[in-house]
This record gives sequence, C-alpha cells and structure tokens, in this order.
Amino acid sequence: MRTSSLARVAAVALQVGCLGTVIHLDRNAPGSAALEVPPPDDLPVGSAIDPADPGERLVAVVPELTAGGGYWSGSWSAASSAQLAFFYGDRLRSHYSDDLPFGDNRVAPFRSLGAAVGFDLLAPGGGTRRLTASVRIAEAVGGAELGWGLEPGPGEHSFFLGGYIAGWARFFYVRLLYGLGRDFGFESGVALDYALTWVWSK
Amino acid sequence: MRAKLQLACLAAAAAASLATSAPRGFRSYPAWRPHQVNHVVGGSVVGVWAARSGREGVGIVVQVRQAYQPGAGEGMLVVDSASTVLELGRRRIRPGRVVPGPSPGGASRTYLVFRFDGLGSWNAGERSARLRLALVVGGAPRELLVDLGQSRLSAHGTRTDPSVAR
Repeated sequence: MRTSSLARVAAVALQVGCLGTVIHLDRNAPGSAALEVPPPDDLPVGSAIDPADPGERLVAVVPELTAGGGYWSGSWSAASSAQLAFFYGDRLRSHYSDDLPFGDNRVAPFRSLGAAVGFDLLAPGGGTRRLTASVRIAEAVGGAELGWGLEPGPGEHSFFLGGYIAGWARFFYVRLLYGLGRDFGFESGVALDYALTWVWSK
Repeated sequence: MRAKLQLACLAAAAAASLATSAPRGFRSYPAWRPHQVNHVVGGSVVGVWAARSGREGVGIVVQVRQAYQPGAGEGMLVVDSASTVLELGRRRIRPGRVVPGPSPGGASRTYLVFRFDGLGSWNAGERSARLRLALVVGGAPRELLVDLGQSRLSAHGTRTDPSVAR
C-alpha cells in the first residue's frame, strides 16, 4: 500500500473518530421496575412500561496512539506515544459514552480503575524516550496516575505520581497534568484508539 | 492538485463532524410477557399482561370485561387475588400488593405486584413462569392459567435522537 493510501485510511479512521467493538453481556439485564407505582389508567392492553436504567459496568482493552504537543518543564515541544490500556469502570447511563457534558463517542466511563503500559515514540521536551507502566484511577474528567518509567538506553528508572484533567472532542484530546515534584504541564493532540469493550448492566 | 482537493474535502468533513452528536445507544431490557393476553372465561373477557418487569419482580394487570348481566345465564366474574399465585421455578409467589385500578371503557382493572429477585431469576436462566389466576364466576371458583416468558423484544440498538434514548 502506498504511503498516500495509508494516509487516506488513517484520515478516514480519524474521520469516524475512535473505533471499537462492544460486546454486551447478558448478566444483570433486567432494569429497575417501579413496581409499587400502578401503571397509568390509559395504558393500552398488552403494553408495558420501560424499566429505569440502573447504569452499566464495563471492562475495556484499548490500544492507543497519540500524537501532539504541549508545554512541559518550561518549554513547548512535540510528543507522541503508544500505549495499551486496560480499565474497569462504570457509566451512569447504559450505552451512553457521554455522561460528561463535553463527551463524545469514545469509551469514557464515568469512573474507572485501570492500568497501562506505554512507550514514548517522541519524548516530550526532547527528553529520553521511556517505557512506562502505570495504574490509574479516574472520575469524571479528572484522575490520578502512579507509574514507573524506564529509560532503556541509560537503564535508569523512576517512579512518578501525578494528576490530570482531560477532555476529548472525537479524536482530539486536551490534558492538563501535574506531576508530584514537577511542574504543571499541558498537552493536546490526536489520539487514535480501538477499544474492545465488554459491557453489562449494574 | 486532485490530492490536495481530496485532502481539503476530507479535512472539511472531519471538522464538520466534530459538531455532530454521537449516536446514543439504548439498552433493551428483558420483560415478562404472556403467551396470550386475552382469555374468555364464563363469557367474560379477561386480559392479563405484565405492565412492569424488572429486577424487583413483575407487576401484572388483570382487566375484566364482564359478560354478566342481571338475569342472564353467566354470573359475575371477580378476581380472587388472595388465592392467585405466580409459579416461578419452584417458588410460588403471592401478590404482595393489590391495587384496584380504573375501569376504562367499562372494563375493570386490578394491578397485582409479585415481588421476587428478578435479577437472580434472570441470571439463573429462568425464562418462563405460570400465573395461576384465581377467579370467581357466579360464585364458583375458577382458575385461569397464564404462561409467561421472559425475553428481550429487540437487540440493543442505537438512537440518533437523544430525546428518545432510554
């Protein structure tokens, strides 16, 4: 495939936003019926009232490529990374990915616990590229991350702990970061991911 | 030139799609449904259906359209809710609450609430139940058997109009 064709495929993938597959599990399928409330007087014979939505839980595996730039340690630079993330979370409403007012159709649980392994394709601030592994906890638009980074060349490693606030608009993302013992940072760019999600009712 | 034009069109379409609302999904919930709604008992028409189904149990409406007329052959039909039972697996569940309903178009309605662990029932694979509806027709006890099945009406889906998303 020629480079221009690959670019078009990537462009179309971006056009549709983030891709993914959702597998619905049958567990806990019934909704919440307000049994004590008698049905309306004019309910047609044979018809039923929809139960209320109890929300849903999900687990997901999300490989992701990001490319963008930002402000770290007092300077602006480009950055790119590849990561594989896992998370377990829940949504307030079933099959809605936009519990958040500025959400979109990407996999975005309202609250989640997760883990990720990643690699810097282009290190921020022109630093050394790192292999990272982290655990994350998130609620609404904010989260915290505890991780471990390894610089394969020098063989140095370090731990990091920080928080972030993030938002998405389709495949664009914006993230404000704070690393303990470091400065605030800002990054924005494009994230292309494919989420394989298993979802079931609460 | 053509490639640049294509790229420009694609970029314009991508930018325009940012503002479009993402499709909203909806969950299709399982519900109890009778295999047959209307039954004729002693000349009266008895309609039985589940108006509410969920993890707390099932709420069943019994609608009776009387054939009774003073001096006619058939007697008046009355729902005996105290003797009515829902059989689900090995359980025999009696209605925990009985609400006399309205009389739309001359028919009388009764709402029977059967409380049970609907979540556990679904997860255990229970998909059928039988309602033993106790009736009294002209003073004589009768029993109407109504088989119910628990299923989804449709697959999960997507709605593009968020106002109708459940």
